Amino acid sequence: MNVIEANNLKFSYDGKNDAIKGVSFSICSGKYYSIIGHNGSGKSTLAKLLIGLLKPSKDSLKAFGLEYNSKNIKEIRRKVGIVFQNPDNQFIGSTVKDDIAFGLENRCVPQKDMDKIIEEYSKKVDMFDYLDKQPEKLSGGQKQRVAIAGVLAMHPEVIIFDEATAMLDPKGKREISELIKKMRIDNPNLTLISITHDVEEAFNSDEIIVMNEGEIYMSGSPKEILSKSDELEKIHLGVPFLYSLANELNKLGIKVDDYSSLESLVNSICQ
Amino acid sequence: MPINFKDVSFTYSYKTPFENVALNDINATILDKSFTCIVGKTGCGKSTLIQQLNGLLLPTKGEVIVDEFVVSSNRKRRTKKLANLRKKVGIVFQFSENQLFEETVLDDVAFGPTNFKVSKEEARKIAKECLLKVGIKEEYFEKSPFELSGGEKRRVAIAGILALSPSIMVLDEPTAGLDPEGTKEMMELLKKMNESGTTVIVVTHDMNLVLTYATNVIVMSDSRIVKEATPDELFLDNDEKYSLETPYIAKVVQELDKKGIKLDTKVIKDVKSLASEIARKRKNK
Repeated sequence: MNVIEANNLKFSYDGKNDAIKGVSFSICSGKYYSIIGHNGSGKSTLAKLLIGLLKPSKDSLKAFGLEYNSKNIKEIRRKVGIVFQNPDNQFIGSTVKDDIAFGLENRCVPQKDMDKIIEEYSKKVDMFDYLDKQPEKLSGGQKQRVAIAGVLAMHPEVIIFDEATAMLDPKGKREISELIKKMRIDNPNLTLISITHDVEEAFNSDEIIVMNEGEIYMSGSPKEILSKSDELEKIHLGVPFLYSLANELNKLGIKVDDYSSLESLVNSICQ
Repeated sequence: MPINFKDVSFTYSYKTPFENVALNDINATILDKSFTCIVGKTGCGKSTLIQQLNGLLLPTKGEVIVDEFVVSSNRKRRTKKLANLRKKVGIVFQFSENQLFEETVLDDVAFGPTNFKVSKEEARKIAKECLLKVGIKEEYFEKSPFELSGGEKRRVAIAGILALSPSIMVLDEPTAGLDPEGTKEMMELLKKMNESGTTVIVVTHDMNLVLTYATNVIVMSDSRIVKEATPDELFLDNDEKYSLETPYIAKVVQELDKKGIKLDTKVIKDVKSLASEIARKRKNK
């Protein structure tokens, strides 16, 4: 089932230049998508359209069959959650606990359930020990984990990560990707859309959409995209490390055919 | 001039019920003209450490010595005028693009020098030079800084610090949020500044960058410094990992080592040098 459908979706900030130049795609329920592209390629604009912070033109974008208009936006936001890049812009509560509770309070979740939910999700993001801490006592990565807990606690059907791990340290990134895996096992219908320019991270997803200059440059499974790594280089996106090493070795006359994993690459070098 | 940390401790909200130790007995030297990376997981005290460098935060105990300046909470020891230290040590904070405020790019960069009794004309001249240095073209000078892309804004912010001609540049995660191309441009810019004699201190999580660009690494953990080393000592010759991410290059070196192919780690800095070292090894075999 398609949860989100874009049909010739356009958007312009100034009415002259299109930041999104008529893209069409569909997001399927239960899949994990990565949208990659360099700075200024239109990925964040797309995220803001998907959550209804920017208004798409009529009939060009639908979520759960609903048009993005003032009548439906509440319903759409109930189903689509977003985690932004900068944790300072989304920390609302005076403590970690208040911050996670904020969304729940808006939905009138009873107090006794709320404590249980807060405990569960703060544990999931490894922030349980910090529940009474104020935001200024937390580092950027810790704040981001709280933001993620707040969104997860709302049980959305789609979660958009707008470069949400860009500020986390490697351990934090790993924890979040582990958490994503766990979430997907817990709830196979959960749809994830991760906006990132971390190519290595994107290769964990089911499908990659590559954006360039406001258009979809290409899309496909990580394997398909990997086989077109030279295309990624062309549009100034980083290529996976193993590919670039294989490429350099080939230039020096060492043929490396299989660079799908570190092991296979090392094996071909040793041959 | 090297930077010396002597028994430096720092506690947020000191002597209140909200005490929070961020630095614990730090003793370290940052070498003159080095490209030093400070690494460690989130919350380990990296950002607190760099704020001691120009006295934005004063150590709760101990002192930081930068050239003739002493940063200390002891009034008798502390250098009276820290403004001159702040000219010497330029700090570019995380997401520095949020610090821009003037109407044009040029005015934003010229703002710093005018605070140090430089005439407006002179300041604009310096600003132009610095903007060109960071790769911002002339046609951008009269634009509003808010019209620029994230990567460009960050370069303008760096130009603003450069305009004070600091001899030490400190940057807190300068590549966070930049795309791979922007990351490379940023690091090459810092490398160029370092080669022209500026001490560059970078806080980062990206170990691949550390291996390629740093001359020295300081590893922090739980408010302490746990290791000072060169990148190849840290990643290629050492089994202790300090729970740092292993750079891709180091992973390849280790895997080949297991297969009996020993590479000369001294010459490996990036993908290119790794590939040519592998090629050299294969030829000799």
